[in-house]
Amino acid sequence: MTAKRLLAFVAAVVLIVGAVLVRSALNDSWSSSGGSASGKYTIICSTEFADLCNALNTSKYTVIIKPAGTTLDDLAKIGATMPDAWLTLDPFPAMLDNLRSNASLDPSILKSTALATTGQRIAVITGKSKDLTTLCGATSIAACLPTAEGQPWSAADAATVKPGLANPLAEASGLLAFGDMVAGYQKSTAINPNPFDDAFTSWVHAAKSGLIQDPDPLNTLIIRPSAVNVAFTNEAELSTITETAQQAKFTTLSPDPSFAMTVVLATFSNRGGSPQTTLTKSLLQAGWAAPTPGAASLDPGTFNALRQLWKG
Amino acid sequence: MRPPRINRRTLIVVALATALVPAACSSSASKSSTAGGVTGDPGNCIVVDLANSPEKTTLLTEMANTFNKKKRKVNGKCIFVRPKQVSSGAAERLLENGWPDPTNNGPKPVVWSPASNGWGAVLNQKTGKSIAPAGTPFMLTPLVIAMPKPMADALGYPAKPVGFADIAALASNPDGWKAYGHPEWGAFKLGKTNPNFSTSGLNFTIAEYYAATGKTKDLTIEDLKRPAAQDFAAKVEQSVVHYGDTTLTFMNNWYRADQRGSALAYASAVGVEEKSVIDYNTGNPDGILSPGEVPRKPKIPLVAIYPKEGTLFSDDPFIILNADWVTPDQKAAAAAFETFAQLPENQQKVLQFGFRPHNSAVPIGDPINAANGLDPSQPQSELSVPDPKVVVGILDQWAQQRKDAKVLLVLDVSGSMGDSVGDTGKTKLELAIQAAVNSLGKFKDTDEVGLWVFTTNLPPNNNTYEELVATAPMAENRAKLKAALLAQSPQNGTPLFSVTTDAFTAARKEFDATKINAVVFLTDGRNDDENSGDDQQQYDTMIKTLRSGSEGINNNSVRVFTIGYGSDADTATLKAIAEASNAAYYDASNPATIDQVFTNVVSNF
Repeated sequence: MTAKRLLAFVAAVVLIVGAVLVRSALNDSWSSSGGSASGKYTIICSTEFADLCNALNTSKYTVIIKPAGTTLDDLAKIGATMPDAWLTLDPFPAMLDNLRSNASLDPSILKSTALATTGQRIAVITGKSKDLTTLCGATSIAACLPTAEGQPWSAADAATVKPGLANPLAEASGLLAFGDMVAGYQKSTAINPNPFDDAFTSWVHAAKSGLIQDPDPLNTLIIRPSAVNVAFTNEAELSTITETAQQAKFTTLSPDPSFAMTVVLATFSNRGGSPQTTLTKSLLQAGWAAPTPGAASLDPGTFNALRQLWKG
Repeated sequence: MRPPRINRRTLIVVALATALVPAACSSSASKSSTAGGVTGDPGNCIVVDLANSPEKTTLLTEMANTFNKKKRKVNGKCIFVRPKQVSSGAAERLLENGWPDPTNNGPKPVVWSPASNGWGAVLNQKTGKSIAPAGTPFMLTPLVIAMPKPMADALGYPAKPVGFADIAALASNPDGWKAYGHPEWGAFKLGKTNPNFSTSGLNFTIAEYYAATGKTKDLTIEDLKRPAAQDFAAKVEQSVVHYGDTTLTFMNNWYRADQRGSALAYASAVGVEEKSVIDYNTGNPDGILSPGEVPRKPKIPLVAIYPKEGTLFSDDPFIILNADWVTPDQKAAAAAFETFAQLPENQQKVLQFGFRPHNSAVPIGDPINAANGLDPSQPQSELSVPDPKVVVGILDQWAQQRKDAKVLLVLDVSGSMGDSVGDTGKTKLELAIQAAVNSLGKFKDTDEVGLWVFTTNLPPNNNTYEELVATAPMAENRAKLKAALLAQSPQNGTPLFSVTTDAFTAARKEFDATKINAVVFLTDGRNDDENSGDDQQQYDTMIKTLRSGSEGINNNSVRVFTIGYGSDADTATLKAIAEASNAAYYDASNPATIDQVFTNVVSNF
């Protein structure tokens, strides 16, 4: 009888210790602030940086490629599992904490570092820049695209204007492009996304229904100008178009006013092994410029509002 | 004191590994070493089954073989990609139904690559779920109107732009080509695939409605219902030669007709992807070179007409499915293959196969050139893919507006049809009858369908066939056909040659120029009429009768679609019959597939 009791006691102890070990290990693996089951450094990269992030050493890093908008929505939820870092465009990390603050949640980001920057551009199919400028008249090019969409290039040309941008709701580059459009409309980067103005509302509606949402509008302009013949792009991307035949397909215009595109690495944990150095080097090699020291981050509240405006 | 972190993790990893490794090993042991043209053994790799539309099978198979050899890894595991050809429409319907019967339909796919993202939108619309998120294209090809060069010249193309509206006007002109100074070319004949199966057919049908409304985007359900639009579409459909599940049937038939010097009699224009024009003009009409096949350029080349109203693109997406059978590992592995397909070296291969690369780092070049009848600077404009609800509306409307058919079903009831099929518990005849009965619902009430059965020694005079139901509209014949089919039982021999000749001749006698006239001939055997002495003569007579009845501009073309049923069917003869009548042969060597095969055959009507 005593032996049986002893055996039962030992079995109970083994079960309890086992349960504690398992629970403890699971807590470590799935903490809500950084870390992962594999123990590798986890980095979420916005779609625009898929190539850079996929080149990271997979034995050190778990790389997740996700549109910035999806990441923003995911991480803003209560109980969201945070990665170690998020590579995206400014001001998305700040937009995350802005949303969390609005929901009475603690800030999630420990540090946000600008790695590189570039300027936004508008590519226009070769031979049509002048027509577009004429069509837009006094209106800035970016702001004129929603109304130019579907219009003939000129009286002598029945082909129509087909502007494309990445989906502003999903892609960071898309939201920055939409930001340039609104800035162009309001003639200032100090924009008010909610002016309660009928003309502005119908302009936004025209933008949403007319502009072609394309994950890679410059690529589409080159390979399929019948679908997109005006594309939001940036200087860094333009520098990667090295084939003469491809360069000959378009000319570029500079939106004015315009928001700079700045790549930021937001960290959620203090774990060592951040790929910041590698990523910075890769970005500079890919045509991005070193960030301007002391440059201010874009206003997260404004861009969250712009996103809502596009969402409708 | 807490044990060191590394020990706890090790504990869990070891425990999981102990549990999972045997499962992985036993799973891999059951994998077949070869599937669908892909070589090698998946071993313990993550298997990514990929269902792709037919025109890119060779390309994707080559790409998958190269990728598999690289042993790329995700989450520490290698990847094995396994493409399998399934037409876009057929895959959509399979996914709509949860991809049943993987034994016959192929494995449940992780990735679906239809010819167009539009199919994914249709699937999501029909199921009310987001099974198919928009996939990234990996190559492109526009829908064009392929036309023999002399006919395109007669229309003044390319100096004079030609569009869908011009094609519609020509199709409905009772003078046909006479209106363009060429009475010898007869009526305008349009080749168009079934939009429920084929992307070219779907895109052409969408373009018809755009042309009917004068729009280039934002087509609505209300637009489809306008009488003028319906009339326009009906007129275009009236000029159709026959439909079908794939454009490759048209291209093969057209090429064979060209080799016989009658390309202009077979069709005046066919709605195809630009890539198919290259294949045709280089002497490889179906884009698949059999071992030893030497391409020979056609006598009359085709020209790709880029419609002036704009056109639609096949964008060949990789859709990583949101299906309950797809694991996170498989999704990650599929994404790795997708990235691989976009690499410049693979995009160069895409171009070699006649598609336009999606990666702008690879410029459009040969073989997309004027020498192959193409213009790389076209199209200048596009038609927007309509809202999925509108696409579904177009498909529903087409089902009522398509050209009527007049079809004679000829069913083999020889003794061998009584053989059992595997563990189905049914005979070949029972399965064929069930498939035929199922197909009856796919005909319109205004289609005319009749039924013959054939075998030797049929009463009263040792006949070789019996007309069970005379050809008449389905509104009155559907129930009669079902009853007659269900009453059949296996009997004697297989008088294949004489009955084919008799059925073709009978159908020609009742030819109706307003309908697609066809015979559907199903047999499981070889010619066996108990007198082998005259087999060669019977065969020659049959082929001669079919050919002579199918040549010429104003022939009363009856097409004989043949189904080789079971492993003993005389495939060579059935192919020869189909080719001689400008139709197509269908392979049902696995009797369990007969239902799907019947569906594909009926897609011609």
